[in-house]
Amino acid sequence: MVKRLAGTLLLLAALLLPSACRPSSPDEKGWRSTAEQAVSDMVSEVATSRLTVQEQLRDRFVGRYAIVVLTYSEEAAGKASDSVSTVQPPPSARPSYDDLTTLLSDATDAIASARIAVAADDEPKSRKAVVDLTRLLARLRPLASSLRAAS
Amino acid sequence: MKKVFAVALGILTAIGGFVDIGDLVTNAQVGARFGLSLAWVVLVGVLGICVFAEMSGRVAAVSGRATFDLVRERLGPRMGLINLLGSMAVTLLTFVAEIGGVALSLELVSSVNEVLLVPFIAFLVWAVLWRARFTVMENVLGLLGLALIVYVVALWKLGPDWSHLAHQWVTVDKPGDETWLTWSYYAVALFGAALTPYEVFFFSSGGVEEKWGPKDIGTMRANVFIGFPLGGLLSLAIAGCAAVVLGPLDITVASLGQVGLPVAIALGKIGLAVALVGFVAATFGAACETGLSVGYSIAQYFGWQWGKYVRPNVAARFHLVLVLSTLLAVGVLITSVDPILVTEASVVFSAVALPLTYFPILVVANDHDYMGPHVNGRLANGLGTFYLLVIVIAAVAAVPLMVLTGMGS
Repeated sequence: MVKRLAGTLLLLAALLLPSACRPSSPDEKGWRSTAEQAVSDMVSEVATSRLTVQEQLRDRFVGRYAIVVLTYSEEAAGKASDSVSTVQPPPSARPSYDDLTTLLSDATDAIASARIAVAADDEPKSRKAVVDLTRLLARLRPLASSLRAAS
Repeated sequence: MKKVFAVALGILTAIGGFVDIGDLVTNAQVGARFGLSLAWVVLVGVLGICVFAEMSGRVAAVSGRATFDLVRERLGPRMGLINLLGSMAVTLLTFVAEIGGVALSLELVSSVNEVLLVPFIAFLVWAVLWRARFTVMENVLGLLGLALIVYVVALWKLGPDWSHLAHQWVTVDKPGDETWLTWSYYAVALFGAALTPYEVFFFSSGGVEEKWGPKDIGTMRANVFIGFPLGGLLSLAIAGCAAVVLGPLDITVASLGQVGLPVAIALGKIGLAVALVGFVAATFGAACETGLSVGYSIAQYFGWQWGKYVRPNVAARFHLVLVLSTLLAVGVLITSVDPILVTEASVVFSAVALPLTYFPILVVANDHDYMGPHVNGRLANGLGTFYLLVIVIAAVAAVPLMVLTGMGS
C-alpha cells in the first residue's frame, strides 16, 4: 500500500516537474495565447492612459484621480509586459519575440511618462504623451487582431 | 403620512443599497466587453433577488426567525453546518471585497495606497457595527448610495445611439471576438453579483431585529419590488456607460478608476465627485451589511444572542465574530491581494453558494404550519421553483466556466 502510494507520488512528480521549470517554456499554442493576452491587456491600459490624459487636459478630474488611474494602468502594463518577457519563446516565435517585447516595454514606458507628466501638471509633456500613446495604440491594435485571428 | 415616509425611505435605501463593489466592477466589465448583450441577466438577477428577498422577508415577518435559525432546524445540525460553512466562506470573501472596495474608492480621492487605508477603514466599519444605530446605518449609507444615480444622468448626457444599445440588449448581440464560453462566464458572474446571499441574510435578519410582523409585509414588499428593480437600473446604467465609453476603445475594466471614467467624461468634476461619494457609500454600506451577515449567520446557527439592538455584553459572542471577521479581512487585504480579483471571485462563488440558502427558504415559505395564510401562493411558488432551477444551473456551471475561461480572460 505504502509502495503504491510512493510510486503514484513519484509518477505525479515526474509529470508535474517539467511544467514547473523556470523559465516557463510554453508550446507554440501556449505562447500565442500568452502573447495575445499580453497585447490585449496592453491595448486596454494604453487606451485607458490616453483617455485619462486627454480628460485631464480638459480638467475633468477631482483631486489625484487621474494619477491613481495612470498608476494602476502602469502596474497592469508592467505585468502584461512581464508575462511575455519572462517566458521562453518557442523556436518559431523567436524572430518576432524581440519586436514584441520591445513594443510592450515601450508601451509601459509611455504610460509611465504620461503619469509623470500628469503628476507634474506639465501640459506640453501631457500633450506629447497623448501623441505617443496614440502612436503605440496604432501599432498594438493590429497586432492584437492578428494574434487573435491566429489563435 | 408617517407610514408613506417610512415606505419612501425604505424604497430609497433599497435603491441606494442595491449596488456594491461586485455590481460596480462586474457591470462595468461586462458593459465594456459585451455591450448590453448581457443586460437581460441583470433583469433575471434582479427579479431573482426580489423573489428570494420577498420570501425570506415574509418568513422573517411571520415566524420572527431569521435564515440560519431555520436552515439549522430544516436541515439538521450536520447539513446545516456544511451549509453555514459554504455560505460563510462566500460572505467573508464578499466582506473582504467590500472593505477593499472602500479602500480603492478612497484611494481614488486621496492617492494613498489602498493597503495603508485598509486598517483605518476596517476600524470604521467595526465602529459602525459596534455603535451606530441600525436605522441610521441603513438609511444614511443607503441614501448616500443613491449618488450612483449619476450614472443614469451620465449615460443620458453621453448621448449614445439608443437603438444600437436596445438592439444589443434584445438580440443578445455579443461582440464577434468574444467566445460564448466567456460570455456565459460573465452571465454567471453578473447573476452572482445581482443575487448575493448576504443581501438576503441582512434583509431578513434586519427584519427580525426591527421586529417585523405580518402587518409589515406590505412595506417590505414595496421596498423589495420597487427599490431593488430601481437599484438594478443603476447597474444597467453603469454597464451602459462602460459600453458607450470604454468598449469602443478596447478598454477592459481592471481597476475601479476605470469605472469612474465615463462619468468624468460626461459630467466633469462635479459628476465624478458625486460618483465617488456613491462608490464610498455603496461599498461602505455593503461592508457593514456583509460584516453583520457573518455575525448574524453564525450566531443564528449556534443559537447565540445576536443583533445590533442587543447590548454587546449580552451578545458578546456575536460581537466577537464581528471583531474576528473584521481582523480576518484586514489580514487578507494587507497581503496586497488585488481587491478587484477578490471581487471577481466573490461574485462567482456567490452563484455557487446560492442554492444552500435559497432552497431551505423556499421550503419554509411553502410550509403551512409556519406561514399560515402567508404561505407561498401560486405565483410565488412558480417563480420560486423557476429560480431554484436557474440558481442550481448557475451554481453548477460557475466553477467549470471559471476554470475553462481563466476567470473570463
